[in-house]
Amino acid sequence: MDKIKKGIIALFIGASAIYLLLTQLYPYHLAHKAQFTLPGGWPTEPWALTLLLTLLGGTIGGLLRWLGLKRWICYPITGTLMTLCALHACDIQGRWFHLPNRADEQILAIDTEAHRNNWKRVQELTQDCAKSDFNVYYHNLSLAHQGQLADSLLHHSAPFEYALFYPIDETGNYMSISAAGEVWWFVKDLTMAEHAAMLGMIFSPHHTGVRPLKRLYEINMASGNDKSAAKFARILKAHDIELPLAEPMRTVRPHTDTLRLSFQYDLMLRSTLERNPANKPALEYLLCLDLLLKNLKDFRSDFERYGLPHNSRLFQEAMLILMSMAPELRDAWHDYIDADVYQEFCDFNAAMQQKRKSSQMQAFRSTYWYYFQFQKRAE
Amino acid sequence: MSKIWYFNLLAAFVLTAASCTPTPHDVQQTEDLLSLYPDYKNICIPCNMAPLNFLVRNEGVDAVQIQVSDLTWTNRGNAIVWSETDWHSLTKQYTGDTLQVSLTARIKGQWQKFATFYWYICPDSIDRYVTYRLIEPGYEVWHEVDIEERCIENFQTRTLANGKQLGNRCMNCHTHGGDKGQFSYFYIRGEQGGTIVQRNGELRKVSLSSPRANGGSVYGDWHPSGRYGVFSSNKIIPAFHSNPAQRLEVYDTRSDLMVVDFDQDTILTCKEISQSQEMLETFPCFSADGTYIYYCAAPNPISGKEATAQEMQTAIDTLQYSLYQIPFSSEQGIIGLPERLYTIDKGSISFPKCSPDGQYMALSYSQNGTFPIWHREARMIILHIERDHEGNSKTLQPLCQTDIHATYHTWSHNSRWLAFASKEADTQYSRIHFVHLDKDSTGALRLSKPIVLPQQDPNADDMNLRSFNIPDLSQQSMPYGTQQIQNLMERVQATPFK
Repeated sequence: MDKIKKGIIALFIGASAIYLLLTQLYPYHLAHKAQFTLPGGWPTEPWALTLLLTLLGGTIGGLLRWLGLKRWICYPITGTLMTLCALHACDIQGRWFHLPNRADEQILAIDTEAHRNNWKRVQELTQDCAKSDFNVYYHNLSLAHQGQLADSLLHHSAPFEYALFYPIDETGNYMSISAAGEVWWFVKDLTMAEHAAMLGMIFSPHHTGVRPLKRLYEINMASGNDKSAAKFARILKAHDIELPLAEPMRTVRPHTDTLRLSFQYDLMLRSTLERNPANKPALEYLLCLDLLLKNLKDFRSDFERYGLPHNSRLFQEAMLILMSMAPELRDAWHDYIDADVYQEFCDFNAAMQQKRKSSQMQAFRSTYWYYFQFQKRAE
Repeated sequence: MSKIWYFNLLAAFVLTAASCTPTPHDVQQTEDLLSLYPDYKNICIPCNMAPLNFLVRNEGVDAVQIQVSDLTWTNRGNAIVWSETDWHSLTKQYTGDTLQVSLTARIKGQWQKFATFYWYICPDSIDRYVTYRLIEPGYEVWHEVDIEERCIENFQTRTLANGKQLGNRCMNCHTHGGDKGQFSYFYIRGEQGGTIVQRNGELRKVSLSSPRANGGSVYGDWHPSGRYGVFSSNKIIPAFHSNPAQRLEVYDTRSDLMVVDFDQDTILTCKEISQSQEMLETFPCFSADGTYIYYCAAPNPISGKEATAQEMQTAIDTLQYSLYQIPFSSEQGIIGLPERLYTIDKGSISFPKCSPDGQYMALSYSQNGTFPIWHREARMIILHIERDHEGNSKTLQPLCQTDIHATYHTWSHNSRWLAFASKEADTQYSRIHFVHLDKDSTGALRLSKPIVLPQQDPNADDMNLRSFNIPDLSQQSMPYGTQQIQNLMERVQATPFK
C-alpha cells in the first residue's frame, strides 16, 4: 500500500511537472485550444490535464510492472507516453503531437491577447510589423482600440487596405478568419463580424468553441436578433459557460440597407456609419482606408459628411494635399491645420521640387505626403 | 467481507432512490403559457411519424408528466422522450382521432398543470424517408457537407454522401423523382465531380456542363417518366446586407435552363429559356404529367454591364421573379413559347413544385430576389392549378399559405403532406417542417400548423450547428451509400452529355 501511495504521489508530481513545463512552453497553445472547444471535449483545463496524465501514467506504469518489466524500463516509457499525450493536448490542429514552435506561439499569443482585449500587450507583441500582414493588421487594431490608429498608421508598414483588414478567402484558416472578424466587431459592422465568427467556427478543428459561440451571442444581442442569440446562449449554458455581457446596439438613424460584396471595405464602413454617424472607430477606419488607397476624393466627401474622429496629424497632411489641389478649400479648412504641419508640408514640397528620390526623402518617411508620392503596390 | 456487502447494499439503495421518478402531488392549474420546443401544441401528426420528443422550456422545470389517452409518462428534467413501441401503438390505435394531451410540470418544487392541447393523428401517411443536405450556414463557403437520409417513422439516419470522404466538396441538393422516388440525383462540385444520377437502382456519374447552358447544373427536377430532367445553371453572387437582420443576399448575374435526356445522353436548350442575358430563368420543375415546364424568370437588371453599388442595390431591391410555363413534349422536347402564368404583387416567386396529383402548386415568395432561405419574410403559398377543357394549365388560384418562414418545399407521394426548410426557430439554422393539406368545414383548403422533424434527443436541435437544407421526400430508401458514391467519384469518369 505504501508503495502504491508513493507511486501515485510520484505520478501526480510527475504529471504536474509535465503540465507546468507545457504551460511555460505552450501557454498560448493551451489557451487557444480551450477557446475552440467546449467543456466536455479533450481536456485542456489544468486540473483535467494533470489528472488525466496521472491516471494514464498510473495505468501504463502499473501494466508494465505487472508484465514484469523493471523500474528503469517502466519509468522512462511511462514518462515518454505521458509527455507525448500532453503534447497531443497542446496541438491545435488534430495532429499526433506538437513540438515547441516559437513562430506559432507568437501568432497564438497575439490572437489570444486580442481575444482577452489586452490591446497594450498586442501592441507590444506586434511591434515588428514587417514580419507579416497579420502583425500589421493586429498592430493597427491595437492602436485603434487605444485611439491612436491615425496618429501611428504610417509609422510602420502600411500595405494599403491590408493594413486595416484581413481578407477572408480560400487561403485563410480558422485562425485568420476569426482574426479578420475582430475589426468588424470593433467598428460594429455586425453582418461582417457574424460572417467571420461563423466561418471561423465552421473551419475550426471541432466546428465549435467557446470563443466563436460567445461572439455570435454578442453579435446577435447587439443586432436585436433575440431568437438567434437565445440559441447560442442555450449551447453556452448547457456547458456551464457564463454569458458575456451584451446589449442591443444603438442605431441613431432609420436604417437604409446596403448590399456589399466581401471586398468592398469602404462601402461596409460607410453603411455602418449611416446607421450611427457617431461611430468614431468606423469613421477613423474609413478615413484611414481612403488615405491608404490614395482616394482623396472619397476622403474629402467622407470628411465633409461625417467629420473627423479627432484632428490627427495624418488627416491634416491629407487635407493639405487637397487644399493644394483645390484652393477653395483653404479658407474652410484653414483652422484644422497646425502651423508646424504646414511648415513641414512646405519643406516637403521644396524637397520634391529638387526632384529627390524616395531614398533622399527619409526625413518625411512617416508622413502621408511621402506615402502618397512613393508607396506602390507590390507586384 | 461484510463491509463490502453493506457497501453494495448502500450503493444499491442510493442508486434506486436517485432513479425513482417523481410523482405529481398537490397539482395546481396554471394559466401560464406552455413553452415547448418543438412547438407540438395543437398539431396534425402523420400516423406513421416517429415519436414526438420535445422539451418543456418554461423556466425552472425539473420534472414533467404527460398524459395522452391512457398513456402516462413521467420524467426528471424537462424532456419528454417517448418509447417508440408505446408511441407507435398510440398512433396506430388512434389514427383519425383527436387526442387531448395534458402536461404537468414541477417548477421550483410546485407541480403545475398547463392547459390541455390536442394532437390529431392524421390517417394520411407521409413518405417514409426524407433526404436533406446538412450544411453549416457559412454563406460563401462550406466546410463539411453531408447528404443524409432519415426515416421519418423512426430515428434511423444514414449518410448517403459524406463530405470528408469526398474531399470536402460542395454537394447540391438531393432530388427525387417518380411516384416512389425511384429516380434521384445530386451534384458534387470540383475536380472529378459531376451529377450522380440514380435510376431504378443504377448509379451513373454524368457531366451536365455545357457552354450553351451557361455552365453546370444547380436547381432541377425530374420528368415523371424518369427519362428527362430539367435544370438551371446559374452564376451566383453572394452579397452582404448592412442590416444585420437580413445578413446575406444571393443573386444571379446570369441563369438559364436546359433539359437533359438521360437515355440519349443529350442536353437540349432553346433560345426561349437559355442563351439569353436579358432574362434570368431559374427553379425549373415539370408539371405532374410532364407536359409543361414551370420556372421562375425575371428581366436581368444588370445584364452584362458594370453596376455601381447603388445601382446594384436598386437592381436587387426591385428584382422580382414571376412564374412562367413552357410546353414540353416527350417526343419533341421543348415546344411552344414561354407564357407568364403567375405574378405576386410586390413579391418575388421561387421554387415552384407541382403536387404529384397535378392539382396544386407550392411555391415560395419573398419581397425580392431569388434566395428565400435568407429572407425572413419568405412564405410558402399553395395554389390550385386550373386547367382548360384541353387540360392545359391556364391559371393559378392562391388558396392558403404558411404563417412562418418556409422555403425549399417538397410534396409527399399522396399530395397531402409537404416538407420544407425553415429558419423560424432561430433565424440562423434551418430545420425540416411538415404541413398537412386538407379542407376545413367550409371546404376551403388549409395548411395545418407546421411540425418540426422530431429527433431522438430533443436537445439535438439546440446543440446542432448545421442546417437541414432542402428536404426531399421519398417512399423508398436510396439503394446506395457513402462507399458507392466514393467509388464513383474516385474511379469513374463523368459521362459528358452532348
